[in-house]
Amino acid sequence: MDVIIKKNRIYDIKFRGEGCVLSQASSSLLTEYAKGKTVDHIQSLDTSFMQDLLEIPVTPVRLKCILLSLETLQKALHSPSQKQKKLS
Amino acid sequence: MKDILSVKKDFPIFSNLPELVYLDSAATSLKPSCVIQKITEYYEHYSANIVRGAYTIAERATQEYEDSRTEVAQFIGARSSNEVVFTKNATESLNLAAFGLARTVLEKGDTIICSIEDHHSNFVPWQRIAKEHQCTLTLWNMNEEGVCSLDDLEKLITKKTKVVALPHVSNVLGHTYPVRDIVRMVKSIAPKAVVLVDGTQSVPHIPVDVQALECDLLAFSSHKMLGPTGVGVLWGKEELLNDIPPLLFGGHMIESVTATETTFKSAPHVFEAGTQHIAGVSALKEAVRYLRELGMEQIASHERTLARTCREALAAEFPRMSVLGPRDLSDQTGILSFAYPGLHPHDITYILGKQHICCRAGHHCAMPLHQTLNVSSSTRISFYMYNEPADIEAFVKGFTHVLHTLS
Repeated sequence: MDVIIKKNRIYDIKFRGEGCVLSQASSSLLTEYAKGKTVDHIQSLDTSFMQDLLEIPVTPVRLKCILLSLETLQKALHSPSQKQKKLS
Repeated sequence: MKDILSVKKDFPIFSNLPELVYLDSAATSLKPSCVIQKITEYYEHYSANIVRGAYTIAERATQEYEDSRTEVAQFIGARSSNEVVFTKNATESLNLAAFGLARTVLEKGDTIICSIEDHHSNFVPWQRIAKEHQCTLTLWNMNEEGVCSLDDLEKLITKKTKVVALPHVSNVLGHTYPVRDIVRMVKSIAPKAVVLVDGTQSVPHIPVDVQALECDLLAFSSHKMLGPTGVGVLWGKEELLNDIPPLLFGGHMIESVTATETTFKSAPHVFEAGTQHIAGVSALKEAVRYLRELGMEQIASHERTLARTCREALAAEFPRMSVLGPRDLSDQTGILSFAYPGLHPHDITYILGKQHICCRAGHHCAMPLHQTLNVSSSTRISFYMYNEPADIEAFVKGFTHVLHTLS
């Protein structure tokens, strides 16, 4: 995930990756959703949010596929090296 | 000998799910009714703890449990039933062996060798042990032919080699290791080295004789050989087992306990602390008897034929599919894994699953192997005695639908 944050909000976000269609679709939907949202709001998102975002039922075995993008984004926002980079 | 083409009727799941095309026996095998009934029989007729009671049903439970030990010992050609330890699964067997050997044979600076094809259960414990005991873990890699060769292993072995851990049959690529040749070569250079074999994908599928293999320890699972889950086996040479400390301490494995000291039983009972899965162990002998009735040579031949037919069909119908593994197919069993450009195994197996076709997606607990093959994950097909050529036709039709859906 590549994220540009300005004043605690996600200004722009893109993802790179390979994976099953659920992981790719959820990454695409999440990055669309995340634009303009605050960092704190993104950190509060959880499994049920991702299930609602997909709008299709996801079996327990495939849950981790749709959570991959959210976990990656939340880790990226938590990462100290990322926090230090600020755009004026 | 029982006819292998008539076995499906012995497996109740096919009556309940007539459309089932089960191609995932490498993950777990289906169960014949004789095994299922044996489990219920324990709970309905002699549901007592073993060893502890002098009453009739306790004696019967003890007899059934120990008869399974004898049956398993004979099945794998062990010298004595004292060489057969019951555990929870092959992973526990491999951990018991690994952490036991670590405390008895390993010294700082020693080398442990693992195959790149080892299942995580025969690799991760060694990785941890190498760190804890300041030993070196050396990987036995594949050559350009896609094989972990004897020549390459020979170059890795030194006088410091104390353990060589390898699979008998690769759970991803399905080919067989020449265990006896490996053992002889290892011990000619490092006579004290212990050879630990993961027999999880061999014991259920091909004839295995531990004395012929000449290895020191062999681990396998009940649930992959028609038996119930919750039971595994560690076979070991008796003198070696009596040198290894147990992982669990407590009931049933002691001779005497005082306030300050305990003396222990010897192998195998010293490794079976607490109450085991008595019903499961008792039922395992039904699985062994079923396998004997079919004959391991017949099972192995049946699977080889199916795997060969399957490979031919896949090559003909899906030219873009890559079946992974060595070019030499002479020692293949009934496992094969493949990759397909642009398609993820999760999606492949999901759409196959909707058509009642069961295949496995992922890294199959063999991440280092997939990294070496430069494949993030694969789809695995695995055969057993209840599979038939119609299953291959169903797979071809099912995968054609996968391509149609995802392209």
